[in-house]
Order: sequence, then structure tokens, then C-alpha cells
Amino acid sequence: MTVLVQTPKDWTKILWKRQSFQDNYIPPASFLSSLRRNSNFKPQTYWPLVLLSCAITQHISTIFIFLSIFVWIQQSKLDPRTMVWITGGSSLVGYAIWEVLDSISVKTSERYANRLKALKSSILIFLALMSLTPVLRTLTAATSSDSIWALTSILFILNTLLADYSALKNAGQVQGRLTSVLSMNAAMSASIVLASRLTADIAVFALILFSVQVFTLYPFLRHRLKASSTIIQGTTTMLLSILAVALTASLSWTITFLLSIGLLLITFLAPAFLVWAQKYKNEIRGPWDVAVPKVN
Amino acid sequence: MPTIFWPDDVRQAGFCYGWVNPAICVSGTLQVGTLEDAQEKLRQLSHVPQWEQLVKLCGSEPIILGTCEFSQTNGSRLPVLQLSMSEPVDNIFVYYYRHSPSTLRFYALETLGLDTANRADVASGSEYLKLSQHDFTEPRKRQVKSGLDDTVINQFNSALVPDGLLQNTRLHTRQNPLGFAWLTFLRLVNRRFSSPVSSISRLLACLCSVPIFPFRTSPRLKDISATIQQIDVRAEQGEFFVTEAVTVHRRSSTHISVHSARYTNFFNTVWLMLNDITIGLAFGSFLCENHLVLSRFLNRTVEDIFIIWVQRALVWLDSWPAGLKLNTELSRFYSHTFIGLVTAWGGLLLRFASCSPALIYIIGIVSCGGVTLAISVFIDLLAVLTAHIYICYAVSGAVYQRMLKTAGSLWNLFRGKRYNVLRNRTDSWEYDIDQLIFGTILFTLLAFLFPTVLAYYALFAMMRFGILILQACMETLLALLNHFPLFALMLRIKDPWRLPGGIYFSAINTPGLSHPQLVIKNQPVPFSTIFFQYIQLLSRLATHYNPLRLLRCIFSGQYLAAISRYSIRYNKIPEEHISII
Repeated sequence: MTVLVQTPKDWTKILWKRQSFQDNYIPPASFLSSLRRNSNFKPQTYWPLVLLSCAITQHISTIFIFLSIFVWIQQSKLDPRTMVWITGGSSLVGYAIWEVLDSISVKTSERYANRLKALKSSILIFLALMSLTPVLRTLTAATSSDSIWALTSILFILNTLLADYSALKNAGQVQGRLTSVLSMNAAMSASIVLASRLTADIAVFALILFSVQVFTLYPFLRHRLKASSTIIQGTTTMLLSILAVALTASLSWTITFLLSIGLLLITFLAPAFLVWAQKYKNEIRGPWDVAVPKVN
Repeated sequence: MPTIFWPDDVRQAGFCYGWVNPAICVSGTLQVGTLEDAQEKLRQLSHVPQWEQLVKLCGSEPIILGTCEFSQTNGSRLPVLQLSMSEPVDNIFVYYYRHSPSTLRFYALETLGLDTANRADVASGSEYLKLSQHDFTEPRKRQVKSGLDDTVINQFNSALVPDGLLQNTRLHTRQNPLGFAWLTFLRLVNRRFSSPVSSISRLLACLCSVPIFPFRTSPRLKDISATIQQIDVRAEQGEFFVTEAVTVHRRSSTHISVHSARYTNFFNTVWLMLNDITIGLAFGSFLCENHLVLSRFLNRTVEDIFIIWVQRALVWLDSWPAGLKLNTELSRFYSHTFIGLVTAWGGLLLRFASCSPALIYIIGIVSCGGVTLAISVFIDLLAVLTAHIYICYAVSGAVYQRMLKTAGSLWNLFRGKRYNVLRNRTDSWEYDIDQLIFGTILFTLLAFLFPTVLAYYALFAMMRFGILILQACMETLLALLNHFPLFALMLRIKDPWRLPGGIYFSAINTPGLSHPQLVIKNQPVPFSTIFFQYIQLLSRLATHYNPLRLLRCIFSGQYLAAISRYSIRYNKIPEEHISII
């Protein structure tokens, strides 16, 4: 760069006017002065992150609860009829919680309509599953067990990855994004694939009813609970993880050990890691970037 | 320097007569003594009935133009004219050929219309003619004052008529005796047999158009069976023969181009039919002689390919084909049903296997009516023999298509969209929980049952595809035999003067003259006009049997249909209910 006669005070950052400076001249003092580092960065603290990661913990616990129930039914340690009753009971409990949440936020007239719709839906699904059970039992009966285990694990991993862990913005919204629907699909496919290992029709019915409740109805409840207080969240997470660990304890010690370690890692260690890694965040923005519109 | 159109073959001096509007066109010379004699002769001709037609075609009456002499010194054909209305000046001569109208050679400015739909006399009531008047893309003919236009062409074509009238010879005995004998024979046959043949043809055509079901929109008999379609074609040819045989003899009122087109079409049909019957007789005698051997071969082939092979393929699909584990229950259901169907049909065919020699003998006799009839009977026979494959294909194809549709609507469900039938588009829609859950269960069901359905559908789609290809070949052969333009092709090679497609000037160098002289010659019709039916038929066949389109039909589960027989048949007599597409 040549040293010019005129002072930098005459310099303006305009290219459409012929100035006495070169086109790429910048006064050394103002070089990269408009560079912004981490302008949108909101530092996150540890405990809110832990609370947010409770959703993942709950999800994984439910998956393992389901898997242990499946193994119990397959080994005939659990009577399918009992399972149906348990499913019915827990869905009633869940519906009661939903009603309580509704009474806070939703108008009375809509609550009536919602109640009727829920009744219709449950009867419909119950009867539909009962009629489709024989077909579902023999769907993948010819596949060997090894492929079934592999398929199941892949589908559950897909379910975990694609699940919707965000909090609910407004009440009553049912339709999620495509990824959340796909994760629901993956979980249902996994449970149907697993059900083909069972021999009795009633067992298949019980398992699939349970999976419908756990993988499709429970996420909606979880969404609404997230918006409420932290104590409820924490207690739910604790309950579910203890239940998962206890159930897997009856199966095999390795899995219990791995599961508890995994849950602890996800709940406590992963947020810590995220907080620690924030100091390496180095996002550079400047007026050369694409403008971000501010929408009120 | 004015241009004079001079006939090429006139070498005698005398009084020349011709037309002055729109260009000076000399028609011939009269060898008489004085001008008054010449004018008297012309006036005598005005009482002849053909004079009226001549005057109407050529715009005005021929008049005596003047005298002409040929200079003997250089022996050229350049006449020295002395026109009565103008000073003797140097004229430019453009030569043209005079042809007798009975030879059917003529000039034309446009291509000869061999297409029936465009013929002026037939299409006068059709919508096409009314539409073509509004066709503004055609270059508008400018009205020329004294140049070459339709009237002058007509004058060229009728140049020998006054000559013939003057010499009092009947023009239509100048053709060759063979043609004359043939035409007389046709006239006799026509007078004797015209009304029975015509009524039988009309009866057959009505019978072939009988609808199968009592509704008006049900398919007609001729849509399902190739034989009946061929009989319909024959009936139409018979009727065409009867109506057109009258017109082969030219009335002087019809324009020569129209007459030539009709003549060509008529003799083309006659020749095609004779060819057909000849080949059919040969083929029929072959069939009749070898009917026992052929019937045994047919029985064995049918049983091997259509029954046993299909059963074996179905059993193979049921037992883990290529290691693929299909859903056991569904696969068993499919294979049991289809094997039962195929076995039942096989039993039925076996019962009729004993009369297959007689069947082949009858086909041999039938083919004496034309090899096209034999081919159409074979097409029908193929359709009957593979009826079980058709049913299996229809059933498995329906299931497959229904599955694909369900998958499509489930995909819409997962995206949160719904197909709006009223507006024919996809809108976003909020579904209930139970709809989502039910959709999920159905999706899993569909995903696991799809490979089984696909396997069975693919088997029958392949078989149907093969049969369709076979049928397409036979139908193409049939279309070839029914509509080949033999006569026009032969004319084009032998005598291009009879198929004019425009004129061109060619320069001839004569020794002894400074500049070359122009002669008007005829440009024969291009091959694409001769084969116009063919090009249409082939384009329709290619569109229908396009391999990409067929593959798309197979993958989307649409029904693979043979081309509708009506669209590969070109009608000689345009009927009202055929749409012009």
C-alpha cells in the first residue's frame, strides 16, 4: 500500500466515487472494526440446561421401560391381560393430568368438545387395534430373530434422534413437524416388529396398546408438562428413570448398569460439557453477512 | 417484353388460338385459310356441351390470337407470332406440355390431395373445411393480374380439349384397351351387384357396431374383437367400392385433380384387397394342409407356457424367491388363489384341446377372405388363450395401485396436508390424534406388506407386457396390410406426371439461341404425402407403445391396454361420428 499525500480524513467508504485512494484502502485504525464476535450469544448456565435435558432422559427411560415389558411378556413373566389393565389405568391417570392442565388454560366449552373427541379417539383406537392384531402378529413372522433385533435397535435410535424435545408454545396443538411424526412412526414400527416375536394374540394386543400409549400419547403429555413448573418436571424424570432402572434390573445387571450410567451422563454430564465448551464459541459476524430481519 | 405460354408440341403454322386473361396462353393452332374461317370454327364449338365446362374452368372463351409462323432456317421451335391485338414485338416464350385429359396427367399448383378428409367434394359438409377458411397461417395468394395462377394452370390442363373437339374424336376412347375393358367390367359388376353389396355392407357395419351392454356408452362389439373390426373394415371397403366405382369414369364437371385423387384411392383399395386375398389363399392352404401338426404344436405350447410355467412361477414366489422373505400369509393367499385360477382355466382349455385341429382348419378357410382376417382371428385367439393371465394381472394390479394411492395419502397425512377435492390441490390440515395414530399403524402395515404385493404384481405385469408386445406386432402388421399405398407408390415411380405437387421452370439450352428457354415441368408429389396415412398411424402407434410410457404405467400400476383399434384404422369414407383428432 502506498502512502498517500492526503489525510485519511477525506476517505469515505464509497466505491462509486473516484477518490484519490486505491480501491482497497482502509485506514489502519478502522480495519475490521465492524467485526462482531458472538453477537447473538446468550450464555447458558448449568441448571436450566439440566432441566432441559430431562426430556431426553424421560424419553430414553420410556424406551427401556417398554423393552423390559416386552421381554417380560415374551418370557411369560407378565400376564398380557394384566398389562392391558395397567395400560388402561395409566392412560386414565395421564388423561386426568391432561384435564387438570386443560382446566387451567382452556375454555369450558372447548373442554367439552375435547373430552368427547378424546373418548371417540380412544374407543376407535382400541377397537382398531383389536381387529388388526392377527395381521400385525404375522407381519414379520418369517424374519429371523437377529434381523428383528437389529431392525428394532435402528428404529429406536431413529426415534430418539428425531423426537421433538421442545416445549409446547400454545396449548392444544397436536400436529407436530414431520420429523416428530416420523419418530412416532419409527417407534410404532419397532414395536410392531417386536410384537411378531410373540405367539399369543392377546400378548400382541397388549404390547401394541402399551406402545401406542407410551410412544404417541405420552409425548403430548410431556410437551404440556414441560411448560409447567420445574418441580413437576424433576419429579417425573426421577420417577421414570428409577422405574426404568428397576425394571431392567430384573433382566440383566449389565443393562441396568449401562442404563444408569447413560442416564446420569445425559442428565448431568452433558450440560456441564456444553457449558464448558461455550468458551470456545467463536462466531464471527459482520456487515458482510446476510442481513437477519428483525420480525416483531 | 410480354410473356407468352406456348405449347411444346405445336410445330405447324396457322392461326393460333388461346386465352388472353390472365396471361397470354396459346392453346393450339388451326390450319385454315382466313381469320373468318378460324373464328367460325371456334364459334361452332360453342354448342358442344363440354364447352361450358371449359369456359368455366378457364375463365373465358378461347379466342383467335393471331397468326404464327415457324422460321425454317434454324429449325427451331421458336414461332414468330403476329398477334392481332398488338404490334409484332419480341416475346418471351415459356413452353408447357399439353396432355390429353384421359391420361390423367396434369399440372397443379398445390400438392394433390390424396387425403380423404381434405377432399373438396367429400369434406364440403365437414367442420374441417369451415375451419380451414379461417386458417390465417397459410400464405395468402395474391391476386395476380397477368401471371401464373390457377386459371392459367387450368388452361394448360385443358389445352387439348378444343383440339379434340375440333377433330371430333371422343376423348375417353383414347386410353389403353386393357384399362377400358377393366372399367367396362367394373361398370357391369357395379350395375348388377351394387345394391346387394351395398346393403350387405351396411348391415355388417351395423352389426359390428352393436353395443355389448344396453347403455349407450358401453364398448361396441368391434372394440373388443379384432375379427369383428376386420369384418367392419371389409364391409366399409365393400361400400366404398360400390360408391366409388361409379365415379371412376370421369364426368367432365369434376376437376381433374379431384378425379385423379379418387381414381388413385379407388384402385389402391382394389389392389390392396386383391393382394390380401391372394396372400390369404396361400396362407389358408398352408394352414389347411398342416392343421394336425400345427394343432399339436399349439396345444403343447399353450399348455407349457401359459399353464405350467405360470404355476411354477407362482409356486416359486411362494417359497422365498431369491431369498426374499415375503409375508407368509399374504403370499400363500395370493399363490393359492392364482394357482387355482390358472388350473381352472387350464382345465377348460384342455377340454377344448381336442377340437383345435378343426379350429385351425376353419381359420385356414377363413383366411381365404384375406390374410388380414386370419391375423385378426389370431389376435382374438391370443386374447382368449391368455384370459387367465389378464384376470390375474387385473386383480394384482388393482391391489398394487390401491396400495400406492394409500401410501400417497398417508404421506400427505404425515406432512399435515390434505387433498382438497373441490379445488383439486393440497391444503394444510390439522389432523386429530386418533387419525395420526391410525395412520401410523396403517403405514407400518403397508410398509411390511408392500414387497409381497410388488412381487406378485411384477410377475403378472411382465407377462402382460410380453403379451402386449406380441399383440402390438400383429396389429402393426394388420395396419400395414390394410392401408399400404401401393398404387400411389407405383405411380410415383412409373409416371410422376400423374401425381403433381407443384410446378417448376427448367431452363433448356437450345443451340443457336443466346439465352436458354424456360419449360414448365411438373414436380411430383413428395413421398410424405403418399405415406400420409402411414405417418399418422405410425405416430399413433409410437405414442401408445412408447417404452418409457409403458414403464411408467407399470410402475404406477396403471392398466396396460392395447391401442384402441379404431385409432389405427384409417377410414376411407369419413363418417360423422369420428372426431377429428
